[in-house]
This record gives sequence, C-alpha cells and structure tokens, in this order.
Amino acid sequence: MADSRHEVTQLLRAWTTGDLDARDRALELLYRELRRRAAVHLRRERPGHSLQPTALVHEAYLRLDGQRQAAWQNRAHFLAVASQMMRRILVDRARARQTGKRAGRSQEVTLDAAGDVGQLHDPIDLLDLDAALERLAALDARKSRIAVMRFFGGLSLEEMGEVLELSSRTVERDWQAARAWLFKALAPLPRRPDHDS
Amino acid sequence: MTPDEWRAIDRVWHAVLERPEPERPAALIELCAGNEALRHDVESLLGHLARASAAGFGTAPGGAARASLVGRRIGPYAVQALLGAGGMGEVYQAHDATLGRDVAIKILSDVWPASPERRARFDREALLLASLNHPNIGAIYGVHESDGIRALVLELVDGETLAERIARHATTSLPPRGLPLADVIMIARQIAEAIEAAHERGIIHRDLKPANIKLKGAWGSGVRQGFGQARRSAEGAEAGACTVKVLDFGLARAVSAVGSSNAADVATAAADATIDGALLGTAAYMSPEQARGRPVDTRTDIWAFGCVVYEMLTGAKAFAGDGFAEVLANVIKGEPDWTALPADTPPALRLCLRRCLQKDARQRFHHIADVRLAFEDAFEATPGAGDSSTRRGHSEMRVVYVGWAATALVAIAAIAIAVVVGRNSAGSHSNAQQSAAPPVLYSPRIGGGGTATATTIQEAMDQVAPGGTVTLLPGTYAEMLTIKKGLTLQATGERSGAVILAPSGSPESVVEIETTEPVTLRGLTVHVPGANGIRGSGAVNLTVERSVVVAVNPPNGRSHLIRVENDTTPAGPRARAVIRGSVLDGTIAKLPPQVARPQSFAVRLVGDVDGVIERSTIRRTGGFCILVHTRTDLTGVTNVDILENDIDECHPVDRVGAILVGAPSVLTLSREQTITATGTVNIVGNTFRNSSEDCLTSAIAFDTFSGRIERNRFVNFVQPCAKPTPRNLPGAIFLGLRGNFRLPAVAPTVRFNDIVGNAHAGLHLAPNFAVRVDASCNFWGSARGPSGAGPGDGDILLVGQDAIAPVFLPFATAPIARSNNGGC
Repeated sequence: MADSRHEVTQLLRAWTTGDLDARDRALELLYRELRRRAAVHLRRERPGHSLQPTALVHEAYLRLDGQRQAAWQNRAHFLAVASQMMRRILVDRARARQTGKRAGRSQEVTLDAAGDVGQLHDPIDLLDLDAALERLAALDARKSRIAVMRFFGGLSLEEMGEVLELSSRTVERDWQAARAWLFKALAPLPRRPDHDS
Repeated sequence: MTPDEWRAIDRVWHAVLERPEPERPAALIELCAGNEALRHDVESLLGHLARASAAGFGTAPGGAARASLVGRRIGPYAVQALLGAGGMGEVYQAHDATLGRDVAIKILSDVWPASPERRARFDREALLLASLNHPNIGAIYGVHESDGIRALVLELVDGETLAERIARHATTSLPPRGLPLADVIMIARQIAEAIEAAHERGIIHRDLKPANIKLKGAWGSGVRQGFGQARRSAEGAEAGACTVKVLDFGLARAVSAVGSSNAADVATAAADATIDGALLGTAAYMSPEQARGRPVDTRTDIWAFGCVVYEMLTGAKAFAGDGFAEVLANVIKGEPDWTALPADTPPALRLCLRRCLQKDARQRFHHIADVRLAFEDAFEATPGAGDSSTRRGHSEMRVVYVGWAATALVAIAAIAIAVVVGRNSAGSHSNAQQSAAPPVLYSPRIGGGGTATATTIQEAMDQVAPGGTVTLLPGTYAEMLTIKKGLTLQATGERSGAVILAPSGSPESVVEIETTEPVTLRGLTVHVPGANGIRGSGAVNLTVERSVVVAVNPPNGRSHLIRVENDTTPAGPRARAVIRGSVLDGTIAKLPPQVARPQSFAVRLVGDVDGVIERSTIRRTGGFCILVHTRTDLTGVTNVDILENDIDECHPVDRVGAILVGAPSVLTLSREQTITATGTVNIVGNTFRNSSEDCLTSAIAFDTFSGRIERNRFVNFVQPCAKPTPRNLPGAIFLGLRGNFRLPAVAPTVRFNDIVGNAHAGLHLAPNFAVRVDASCNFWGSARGPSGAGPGDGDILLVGQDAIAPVFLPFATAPIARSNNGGC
C-alpha cells in the first residue's frame, strides 16, 4: 500500500484517456485509500442497516462514472474529488435514514478514533457535521473544502496544498482555523451569550 | 457573523499562527489594535483549536505506519516475527511466557472502540468467540491490552493455507486443475465440521475463503489412507493424517436474536475495518445477499463453502473477474463454469455444490450439517471408495442412514436445478420470468446523488433524474424501452457477464429514443427480434458504446439494428448519432441469389444527422451494412464519419454495396429531381471484406456528398459474379449514379487505400460523373493493377462515358493504407 501513490496517478491519467481497466483499478485503490484514511468511521449501525461495502462501491461507480471525462491531474486531485463524493454518500445515507421510519437520531459517527484522549462525549451526528461544513462554506469556502478533504479523504497538508495550489503552511493554518471553528460548532458546550449572534 | 467579520478574523488568525507559540498573545493584542470584539473572536477560536487538538478532532487515524513490534514485549508476549498484515492489522508470532506456548497475536489497529462501554462489549464478543473450542477451528484465546496496544491472542497454526495449496497445484499441473478428489472430500468435510460447530453457537464466519483455511499436519506425506480413495487418487492425493483449521472466526458476527444492536455492534465495527481487505480478498466468496448488502445468516457460510469446494475441485475461482465490482456483479448474476468440474466428480457432489451455490438463499442448503452429510453421501457414492477407512467405524450406521436422507435431498435439489437450468438454456426470452431478476440501480438526483434500485429498467428510467445513469447488473431483461429523457443506460461489470435486452415477441423497436437530450447506451447486448433495435426519430442525440446489437430471427421485411432518421419537414435541429466500439450482427447468412432474404441494415442514418460510426465490427446483414442517405426531399445536410470499422459479410438484397452513401432508393428518384443535399462523409481506415464471396457490386457506393475515402483496405471484395444494378456498376468503389440523375458537383477524394484482389474495377466512375476526383496514391494490388477476371473488368479504374477522368498518378507500389511504405 505504501507506494500506490505513483501508481494511482498513472492510472488516473490512463483513465482520462479512456482506459477503463485503469479506471477500475484506480477506483479499487481509491476505495482502499479512502477507507483507510477517512477520519470518519461509521459506528453503531443497526445490523442489516450498515453501510455495506457493496453499496458504497456501487455508489462510487455511479458517481465516478459521471466524472469519466474529468482530467485527473494527479492522485491528490482525485482524492479531493473523492472525499467530496464520500461526504455526499454518507450524508445522503444519513438523510435517507432520517426521513425513514426512525425519526430522531441520524447516522452517528465518531471523528477520529486514534487518540484515547478526551473524545467528544457523544458521537457526532453526521448531518450536524455536514450542516456545519455548509455554514463554514458560506463564510469561507476554502476552509470548508479543506475540512472536507481532511475529514472524508484524509488528505495530507501537502496533498491539499497541491490541490489548492497553496503552500502547505497556509493550508495548515486554514485547516487549524476550520478545525477550531467546526469543533466549536459541534461540541456540545454551553453557548456564551456574546457569541454566534 | 458576517463574511467581512470572518475575513478580519482570518487575517489575524493567519498572522498570529505564523508566530511562535509564546509570542502569540502579544501578537494578538497588537494585530487587533484595540478591536476587542475581534480579539475576543480570535482568542475563542484559538481556545477551540486547543480543545480540538486535545480531543484529536479531525486527526486521521492510522496515518503513520505503525512501527514493527518485532522484538517488543507486550504483556506476557514476546513478539518474535511478523506473520502478515491483514485488513484488521498486523499479525505476529509471539511467545507466551506465562503458559509457555507460541501464539499468534493480531494487532487491532485503527478500529478500537473509544468508549469503555464499547470495549466491554468487544470483550464480551471476544469471549463468545473464545468459547469456540473445536479441533477444526483456530482458537481465539482472548483479548490482551497493554502499553496502548490491543490485540487478539490466537492459536498459532503452522502449515500452508488452502489458497496456497490450490495455487501450488494449479501451477504444477498443466492444464491447471484442482486438488485430488480424495483431498477435496477430506478437507471439505473438516471445514463443514468447523462451520457446524460455530453455527451451533450462533456464530457465522462471514469471511470463509481458502486464505482463511490452514492445512496442518502430515500433508504431502504420501500416506494414502481413508475415505475417498477415488480414481483420481492415482494422480497423487496428498491427504494423509491431517487437520484443517478454519481461521478468523474472530470476524464473525454473532447470530443473536436479541442482541440487535449490542453484541453484534462491536463485531460490525471490527468487521468494518476489514472491508478494504475483505472487499478484495473476499468478494469472490461473498454470497449474493452479502454482495447486495442484505442481512446474512448461516446460509452465507454455506455459499462460501460451495465456492471453496468448487475452487478445490477446479483450481479456479467459482466467481472471478477483473476488479472487485466485476467480481461482485458476477457473484450476483454470474454462474460458475460447471463444465470445469473434473469429469470424475461424483454426480452427488455436483448436485451438492449446485445446491450450495444457489443465488436465492432459500434454495440453498439451510444447514451446514446437511451439506456435510451430502458430502459423506457423495463419498459413499464415489466408485472405488469402498476400501478401508479409519474414520468410519462406529459411525457407519449413521452415515448410511443419513446417506439415504441426503440422497432424497439431493434428488429434490436435482429437480430444482433442472428447472433453473432449463430456463437458462431455453434462451434469453424466457429468462424474464425468473423471479430473481437483478435490481436496476439508478441515481435519483441530478448530479448523481444517491443510489436507488428499481425492478425494471423502464421504472428506473422513469425515476432517474434527467442526465442521470441507470446501471444494469448482468442478466437478461425482457423489456422494450422508451427513453424519454437524457440518460445513460449502462452495464456494470461489462466483462463479467452480459446485460441483455431481449424483449419477447417482435416489438417495433427494442429501444426507442424519444428525447433530444443526450442518451448513452453502454456495454449492453441488445437482441433485435423485430423491425428495429435502437431507433431514434428526429433530432435525437444518441451514443451507443461497447455494445452488441444482434438480430434474432430477423423478419423477412426491412429491419435495422440501429436507425437514426431526422427527416422532418421543414428541417429542424440536427440529430447526432455515435456508434463506437460496438458489434453489430445481422445474423443473415449468404443465401442463393433467387432466395428472398431479409433486408436488414446494421446502421441507417438519414437526413440532418451528424454521425460517427467508429471502431465497430459489422457483420452478416441482409441489406447494407451501413446506409447513409439524404432526406427524402433530397435536401438538408448530412455529415458522417465512418472510421476504422471492420466490415464483412454484408449481403444487400439488391447487391449494391457494403456501404451506401447518397440518395434514398434510386427506384423512387426521378430524373427531374435535383439532389441539393450537402454534407461530408468520410470513410477512413476501414477494412472491407467479402468473405462469404457474395456477389456484391461494390464495397462503397457513393452517390454524392464530399468527403474522403482514405486508408481503407478492400480485400478480395468484388467477386467475378458481381453484376450491374439499376444504381451502379461493379467496382470496389463506385462514385455517382448510373442513370442520368442530377447530382451536385462534389465527390470524395480516394487516396491511400489498398484495393486488392477485386475481380472488377477498383474504382468505377458513373457515366457523366462531372467532378475530377483525386484518386492518387492508392495501392491497386500490384504495380499494374488489380487482379482481373476478364478484359477491362480487372482494371484499376473504369471511367463511365462522358465522365471526367480522375487524377490517378502517382499510385502506390506497395500497401499504403496502414503505413506510408507505398512510396507515394
């Protein structure tokens, strides 16, 4: 898995020129990458309702097929698009579920399973996250985009810099701002009266 | 907060973060220059950043590769070697100092449940799995946690995996073949016993595959004992005193009626992390219900068991494909190659396998015990298996008894299978009645948002957003379609199984385009039993890619595989038709001259059309392979590129040509009418053959339009039996019309073609042909000209009376169509 980077870029270029085998292979690698890297993990799904790999793959195909003509510049560019796709898939699912029989909780996710330290007390509602990203986008589209790439595609600062044509230092500061903003928007802390007027 | 306010915050934010940590408070005050609200906002954000960092919010898990644990000590376990890395995490060999035994430890990397509550659940789950104590199951000793590392402690099982064994056999035998029958039966029975023990405790494996099965003990010892001394054992059965160990029951999910969320939950989370690996390594063994994302039960293991046995017998996967999507498509719709089973596979075993691999779980064996018993029955029925067995003994009576029961069962299976097979072999039309028609996937929203399924294609097309995609799983769909909005209709896993549109009866069209929005058909196989396969009238925008359109018992009148006609009066918007990378087969054999033959065309493009027909294979039409003509009022603009196609066995009823370009039927054309239609038709890079040696007058009959006829190859096309028609005279390429029709003074250039082995003229110009054609640089089969069948006929070119002679020199002295070696 370590050095699939170069391979993915090559496959994407081949795909751009119409090589469908390259597409399939790229999607395969993409899927693995996204699963591995996405900070959003699905949890606590009811049996029989879980987001199954097949469903995800089918969706990825349907969505990415529409991107057939896109000229993939490189792997980072592709992952950036794919992370947006991942977000839509997950949010669509959550929304569909919410409008389904069960009212109330939508899909719960946990953000970051890595550290043992101070997890958010409750899993974050994916729709809340999505809404927060939307609000952030209205304020600052670039930061929202960075957050999406980070949360749903696990792109590194360098990769995001490549996509946005920014230095990774700038990306990092943007990312920190987005992260703080979202954390504030999502964390169930008591609101201060002098904020969020 | 307004965007302006935010921009101010953002500016200060960037400036502050550029400073080293200790300087930041001072910098903040300085940068805000007395704007307290601003300072407060940025400060607040910094505070949230600190909390977000502490909470690990937005940190990608497992971002850095974990350092190897070899040489480290984790609790009582001294890690000795890395055994492998799977979806769940790395697996190490370790020595348990407390109990003095070697174990395998599987590090649980990224999937660790965060809350203590969930951890407790996982522990309970692991405990349940650890309670599985069976000689054919790799034991789970428990869960260990220390130094921030959590690991499953497992029984260390030596030996090769079944996957390795199968691969070894396949590579050392030519042609590749499966394991000896005796081995297959012995291994299968032990796997079945393992599954049985797990199922009895409510545990489903869910990921059974050869890579999860270890073969331990005296394999390859050459000891030939026991059951299943089949005929093939002479080839070298390796089954000796050996044990099969099924591993990774740790990924199983408890079948628990009550624990809808609790117990099953954690296993889901764990299994979730294995999706990457599972998708790729397991797709081939996934049951159709698993592949469809539906709930699974014990029958899913029975399916996987069938896949494993099939692979042992044949050396090949029951469901294969390039890439996981294809494999899954195959699992859902494909059928294993049953003919690949070795000839000496006992019939009872074949039936047993088929019963394991029923797509519909209800048709499958319900209990693994039934499978095991059927296997024992198969073994009993194996000729030559009657000699000694160490295993039978006291259980013999039981085997015989249940053997009878299994026989009855197999007989029932045989009936069920006969019905299914009968449907399949009765041809595509009857397939429609199968209840298990694959679902149709479509994107319900603009921009491809979401996925939904429908039961018919038409339903999916009604539901799909304009411009959306309807995806078809391999299978036969007995529908005729009317497409009323722009969309893409495509096959998934094109290479794994055909998506066949095969309507019953003889509908006017199989696919009717009734929209001017772009419609793309991709990867489909269209059976055409009636007048039209794919038809668009008016200003349609149709693309047919990588599809197969094939006539099925074509009617005796006119028919078309693909037909786009934009011939409305007055002329409206233009139509567009692209046929690319497809196979069009009219299935009409050559018939004796006097026998009426169906007049079927592969492609007909009419009127105000921009068309492309490229890289396609066209065969066996009763009419022209390609027909391009003007509007019926002889006006309009027609532009068509015919590029790099492979064209053979066109049997036009009036023998005019493989490709006809120009006016509609000459029989209805009066000499007073003037053709005013314009346009460009390029015919470039095609290969024309006439391998059925039909008496075609021409490969290309080209009345009017400008364009280029270049780099084509005409190989032995015009036969000695070719005759004049009311429309043209024999010649591989015929330009103009034979009668005195009024044609525009335009003509294509004819260059760089190989026109080889024609019995009549290579190029023939109609009488009164009034344009000076550039026909230089062609290769005519020899320096002198085409091989001839009589004086005058075999000439390079024939120029009709009062026609203008073409530019003929220089000509190529060697084939030139595919290279520039002709020296021109």
